[in-house]
Amino acid sequence: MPTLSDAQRLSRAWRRKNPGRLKKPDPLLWTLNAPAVLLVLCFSVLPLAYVVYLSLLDTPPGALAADFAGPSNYRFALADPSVIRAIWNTLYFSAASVGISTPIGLAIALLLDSGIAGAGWLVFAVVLAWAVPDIVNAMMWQWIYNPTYGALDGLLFTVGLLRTYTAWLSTPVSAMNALIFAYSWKLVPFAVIILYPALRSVPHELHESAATDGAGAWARLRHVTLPLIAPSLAVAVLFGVVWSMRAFDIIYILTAGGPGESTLVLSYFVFAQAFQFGDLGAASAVACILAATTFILTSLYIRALPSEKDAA
Amino acid sequence: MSCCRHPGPLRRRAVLSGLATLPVAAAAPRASRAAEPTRIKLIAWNYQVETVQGFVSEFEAANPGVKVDVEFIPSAQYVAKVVLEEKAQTPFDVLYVFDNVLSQWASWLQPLDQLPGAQQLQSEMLPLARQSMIYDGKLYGLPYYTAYFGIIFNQKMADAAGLKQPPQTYAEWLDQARAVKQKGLSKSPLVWPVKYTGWGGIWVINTMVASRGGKLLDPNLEVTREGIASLTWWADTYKEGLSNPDDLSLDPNDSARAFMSGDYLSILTTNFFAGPQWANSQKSSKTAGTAALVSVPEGHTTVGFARMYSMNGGSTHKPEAWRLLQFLGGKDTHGRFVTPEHWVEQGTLTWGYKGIEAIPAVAASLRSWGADPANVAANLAAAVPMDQVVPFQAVWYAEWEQYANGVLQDVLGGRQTPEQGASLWSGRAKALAARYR
Repeated sequence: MPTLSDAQRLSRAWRRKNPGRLKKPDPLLWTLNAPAVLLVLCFSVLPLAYVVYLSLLDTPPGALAADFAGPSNYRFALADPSVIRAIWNTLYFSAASVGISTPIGLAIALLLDSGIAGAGWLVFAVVLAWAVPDIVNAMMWQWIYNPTYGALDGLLFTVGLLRTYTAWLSTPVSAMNALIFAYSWKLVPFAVIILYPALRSVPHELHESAATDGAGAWARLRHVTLPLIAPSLAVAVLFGVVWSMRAFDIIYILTAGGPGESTLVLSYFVFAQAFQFGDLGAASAVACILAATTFILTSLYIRALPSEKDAA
Repeated sequence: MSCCRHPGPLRRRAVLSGLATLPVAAAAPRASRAAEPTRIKLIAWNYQVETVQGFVSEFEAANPGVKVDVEFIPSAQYVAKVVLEEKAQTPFDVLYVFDNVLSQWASWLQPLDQLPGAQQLQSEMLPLARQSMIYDGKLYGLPYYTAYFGIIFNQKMADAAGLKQPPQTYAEWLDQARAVKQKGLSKSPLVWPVKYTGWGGIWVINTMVASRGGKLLDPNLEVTREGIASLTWWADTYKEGLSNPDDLSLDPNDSARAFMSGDYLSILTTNFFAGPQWANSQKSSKTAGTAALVSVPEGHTTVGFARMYSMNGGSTHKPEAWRLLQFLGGKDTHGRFVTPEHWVEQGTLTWGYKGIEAIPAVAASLRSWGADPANVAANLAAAVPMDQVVPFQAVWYAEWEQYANGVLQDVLGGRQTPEQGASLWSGRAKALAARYR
């Protein structure tokens, strides 16, 4: 099976053989691509453009008409302490969620790849956890963290680690950590699903020859496995970052941004500003800031990844 | 062939007869269309769905030309969903409205003052209902219900502690809680609806401030002396262990359920939580029969709020919508209040018109949940709308309240002093007022 680099070599060779072929507009290609382009235009580009347009309007709560406001919503957003706090919370939530879920996902994938007994059941459990809708996951954790009848308190109390039931979502630090834990639980299966096939594709001979050269398990993981699964690892991290930057359901259900503003993230701020407080302009400006932050972070991440040449 | 024997006249007759039937044919579908009822849409939150369906059926039976489609929305999502439907110009005619969003929605709601019979209904309303539904001098709703804040008192625990009467002052309330705790009757005798989402802590402190005869924010948006006194008193209950910091995550329903466990002496909350569906529920409450609804301490006044039935200004069926509105929030064609009686009995929701407590079924229902009808009526008549304590009708109030609830959590949790909390409240109110000036 050709690897990505094989495909690139083939593509380059084809372009050398057919110089200028791609420069001519091919009506068939255009026709075949048109529906997809149209869909992207209608459901991604136009709504995005509309949000940018809304972000330039002054839409105070209760007003029927909106005036052009220029960048004043952005000025408000970047000066508002709540937005600044939401930006930091979003970055922390995202970094911590991905930082927790990716190593755990890798560990489970390695466990599966080692061929332990019951691996099939483990795969089933991982896929099941992945299949749970976000909102159901949030409701499940709401029950787990409940201070009166929650499973977590019940467990910790039973094994003697808690003297009284604790309201995990009532204090700023524990609320944020509880959120991160609950969200990571949802991200771990994704990491496993991405990393397990990558591990399976690592040639066994490489491990054997490294072992013959005296490499231990940790050295084999560091110098053989990780470099070979780096592209998949990058995908897992990238998607984890993008998803966690815009996580909403779990925050809406578990904390609604509180207590105080300790778990207020940008996505929830946008929702509250638009639909609870009625200021669509300010909400749109913050939504644009969120989109830009995500775009910048992912671009930096992609640029920081080792290139094909570096890997070789 | 017969067809060809008299072709001319026959053809002419056929054409003429065909023409003659055209008006009839054209009229027929028009007649059937005229028989079709007018369909109007009611948007409601999902409290007691069957009761609301019952009202709608009764209205449809009394108004054969009108059919009502009801869309129920979960309470927690109600505001966001209605805003979304309104922005998307989804047609609807009648809706439930919280008084705390009236200022945001008034621009697209229909003022009712000039509609036939509205002035008469307005004159029969309790001041709390009327004032809560008026924005910028115009009436925007008819009462679904009004409620006020009172104390639900665990009489059984109070008797065991030797307490003679419900607290008359805040100092006495603290003493009573200490006595209950010292006797080991409760680990933390006081419980509150204080979660930072939805209504909760700020409405409780509004009540405490009103009962001390003050406002929470003065005209310069500074927290008043009564506001700081209330905040300090409340924070002290947590410092002393009379309230449990773990209860800070309890919303109004959760806190009422906690009280129903029988482990608490009192809860300051809305009056309907004393009802037979809640603290006096024989099925699910350990305080059934011993939970008494009493007035707040100091006795100046209490605060209340209203939920209303309103009309979408964009409704294309305003006469029918007004008929439904009057039926739900006013009187039927016989001049009888239809819904308040049901709501008291089935939903423990109190009314928005004068004299409802005199209806024998209503009085009996109130007595069944440990309430004195005269006391409830007096509280409803005296309760002031939130707007008299905080800038409840400012367009920025909802945003401020959410922030203020968060600060309140920090103060009660001991992470901020009452003075710091008051300063944050004031600062945020000023910033929002300036932004939306």
